[in-house]
Amino acid sequence: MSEPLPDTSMTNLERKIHLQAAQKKAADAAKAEEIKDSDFRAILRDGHKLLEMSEKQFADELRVSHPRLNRWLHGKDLPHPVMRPGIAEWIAHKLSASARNK
Amino acid sequence: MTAVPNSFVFAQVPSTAAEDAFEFHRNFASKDSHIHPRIESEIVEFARSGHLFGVRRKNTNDFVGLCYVVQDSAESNWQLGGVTVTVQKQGIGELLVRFALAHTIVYGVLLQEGEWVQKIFASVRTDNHAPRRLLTSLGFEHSGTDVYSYEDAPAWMERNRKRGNIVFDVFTFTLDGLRHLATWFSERFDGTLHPSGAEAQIDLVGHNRIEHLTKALRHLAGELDS
Repeated sequence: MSEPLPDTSMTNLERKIHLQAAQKKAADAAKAEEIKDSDFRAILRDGHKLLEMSEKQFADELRVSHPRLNRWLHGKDLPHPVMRPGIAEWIAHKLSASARNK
Repeated sequence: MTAVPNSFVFAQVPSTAAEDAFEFHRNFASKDSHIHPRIESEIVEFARSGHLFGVRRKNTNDFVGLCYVVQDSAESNWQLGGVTVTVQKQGIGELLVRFALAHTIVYGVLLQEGEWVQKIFASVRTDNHAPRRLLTSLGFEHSGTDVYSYEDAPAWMERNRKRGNIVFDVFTFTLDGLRHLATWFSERFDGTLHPSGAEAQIDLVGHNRIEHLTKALRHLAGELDS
């Protein structure tokens, strides 16, 4: 289940706590052999929101097309479960860098 | 570390490189009447939607190969096309097509319960013999023909219209092809091209590596036989 996401009124400290929690979740998932649909989608959505990028920016950085990312985020389809930990690892890495910069 | 000259990177073409990709495609298509000459906006759209695959020299970033796997709508079948390679006899075209097929299959949802829900096909004009051996060796099989009459021929076939009807053989990627693809990545691909021994680096989404692609293909192939 995805954590409630920070809103704009959050303090930097609160945002940093959210970032760290989402980073840990993504990093833990990245160690698994496969990631379930709902968990993967939650990691993707949290990453997208907490990194404060547009869908297009997020897609470009992840090096996936925007339409494909949009389908992943909104449940139309997903990559094969085996491919998901590598994507979770990338999100954990980006969240970690973002948390350090806060 | 400087990359050695004979190193190649296989990857999705990002939209930022679509202009270069289009130039590469245009140069090639202008010399080969069998290639469907795509306009720039089509190539840009293929790149933007993640369906354009390229091979570049690692040291210069120049394109040496390109292909696309595209669909008309979200539910339609996928068409492999535009396979163009300028460096011959190094196995680049073969690996490019294998990579494009594998990428399309593991990042999309083409199979359910061991059956294709969206197929991958390639259309080859009957007078174009070059790609047939490659397609059949990769697990495509002849599945029918498409005939375009003089009146119905799309504009890009203009230069062929004088010949009358234009007939395409349709080749469809098979479940056996998927099994072979999984086995090939698992047992044959060692990160180099054969016979040259040039490095073949495959770039994937996120922190995924070739091992993940191979494993996903093995899973999918395993589901066919379970």
